[in-house]
Amino acid sequence: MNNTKKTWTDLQRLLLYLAFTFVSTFLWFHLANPDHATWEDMGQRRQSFVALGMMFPVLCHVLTRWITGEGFSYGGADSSYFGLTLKDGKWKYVLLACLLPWAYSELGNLLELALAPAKFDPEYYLSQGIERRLLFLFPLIAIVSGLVGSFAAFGEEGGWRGYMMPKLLKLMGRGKALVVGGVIWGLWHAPLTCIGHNFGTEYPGFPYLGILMMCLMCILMGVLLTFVTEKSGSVWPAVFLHAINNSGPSILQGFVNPDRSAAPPFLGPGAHLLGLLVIVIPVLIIWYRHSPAPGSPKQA
Amino acid sequence: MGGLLYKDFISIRGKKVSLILSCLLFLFLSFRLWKASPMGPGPVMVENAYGEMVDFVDVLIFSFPAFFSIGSMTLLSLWVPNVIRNDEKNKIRSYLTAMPVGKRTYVAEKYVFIGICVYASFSVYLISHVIAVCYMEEGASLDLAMLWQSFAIELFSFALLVASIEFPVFFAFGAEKGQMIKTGIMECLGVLAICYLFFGDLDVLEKLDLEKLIRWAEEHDFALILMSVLSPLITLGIYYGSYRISVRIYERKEGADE
Repeated sequence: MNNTKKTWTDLQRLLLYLAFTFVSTFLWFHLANPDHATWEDMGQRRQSFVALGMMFPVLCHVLTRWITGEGFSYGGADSSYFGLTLKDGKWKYVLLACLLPWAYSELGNLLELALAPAKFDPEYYLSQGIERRLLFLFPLIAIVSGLVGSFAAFGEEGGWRGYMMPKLLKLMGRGKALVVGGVIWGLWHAPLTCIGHNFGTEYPGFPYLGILMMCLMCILMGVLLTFVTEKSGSVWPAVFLHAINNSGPSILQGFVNPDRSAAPPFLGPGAHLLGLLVIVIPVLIIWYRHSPAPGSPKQA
Repeated sequence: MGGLLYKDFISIRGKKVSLILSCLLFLFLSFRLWKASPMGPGPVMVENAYGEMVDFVDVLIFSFPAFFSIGSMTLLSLWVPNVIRNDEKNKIRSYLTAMPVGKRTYVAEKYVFIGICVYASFSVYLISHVIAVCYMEEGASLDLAMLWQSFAIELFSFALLVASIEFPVFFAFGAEKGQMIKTGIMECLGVLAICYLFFGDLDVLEKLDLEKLIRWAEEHDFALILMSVLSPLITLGIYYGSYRISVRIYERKEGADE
């Protein structure tokens, strides 16, 4: 009897993981939204239901590890990164992850207002049914609700940062991995972008330009998320960052009226693209200075 | 700490509980999708207490997350004494003295473990709520589900608060005496409730109007949001305070034993 066990390479494991994640999530998006209603039309309750698809990356992570016999350790090299330690100054990355989304959201809105002052509407939040006293609590509400209800973000980050990025980093080095990882993550969002998630449906080049912009946004977000994951050795700071980002922690977004300008929605409050761009550059510089990528001249 | 967490996970039969929960959630999701599909059964309309026609299946579906959250509370209240009792029974503490595990780490692990259990239970509750309400028709069932949801954070925060009281008691008196004190308090509360039923003003219960409560929740959404933001923060503060007290109790107790 032949008892030889199949040995999996990192590339095979990664491809298997991606196949599982893409097939299962796309199937879910179809099952949860069989009539292909647009994001705006389906209402908040069904949006949350469709968004349960965020759980598939982590489920596929566990499934891939189980099939390929990779083990389920919580920390260290080739682990699932599900563990969390606050020792050795790692608590700083948890704190950073909680505050960064607020910083780049406000910065993005501020830059947007600077570029298009016509969008400033001092009473826009009222038209959105938001009370003034509530608006100023937005960052706190976003941080607390993000942390408490972070299971959905764990669903994504547990897969992308917990499995895909470590494999990509091993296979192709930091620079390429961040770009390729961001593109994969952006393409995974494509079914949602096609029904108007994040950018709506009324923009020139719909939906292809939206998918392209989503990839760009995912590359930028991916830099921050991979940075906090690598530095803390855990997916949890990335989970918190992602969850708080999704909760919309900005106060200024209550004063940015997108209807007052003909500009495409890509730079709007939902995307935080400008703020992200400004934040990502210093993070990349710090990252490369303090821990150069393997094989870089500085490390050699 | 990872090893200690895994030990407690095994002691509460974590694998079995997770498997049962996953299966229940999967069945619930399948039922919800089937009910919403053209192949599913049509609405079974019944008249509720307010004379409103509601889909009976919606009422059943709403009750799943509600029962789940109550079930979680029950399980969580069982797990706190369980993790302490298990260590005493298997002489884990004397075994740990031979390991590089500090007293603080040991106590912290218990708090982290129950914290993780509360987080996981709340996450599963949220998933079941999302599944329950996604295709629900506007009406009493949906209003009740949303009302339940607005108090869910407080409910799970309450579980942490109860654990904050239980842990120092169990560390101070041990699992057996701690359980006796807990049972004593529960029985006192039970007797008080029975006394209220016999001698109290039951008009309050008769006048309890759910519709009024739903209207109140709609009118006071700011207060509810503020409460849902502040209650986890305050609870975590109390939970941390309880941890400090438990460490002090445990260090003093272990010191006396040595």
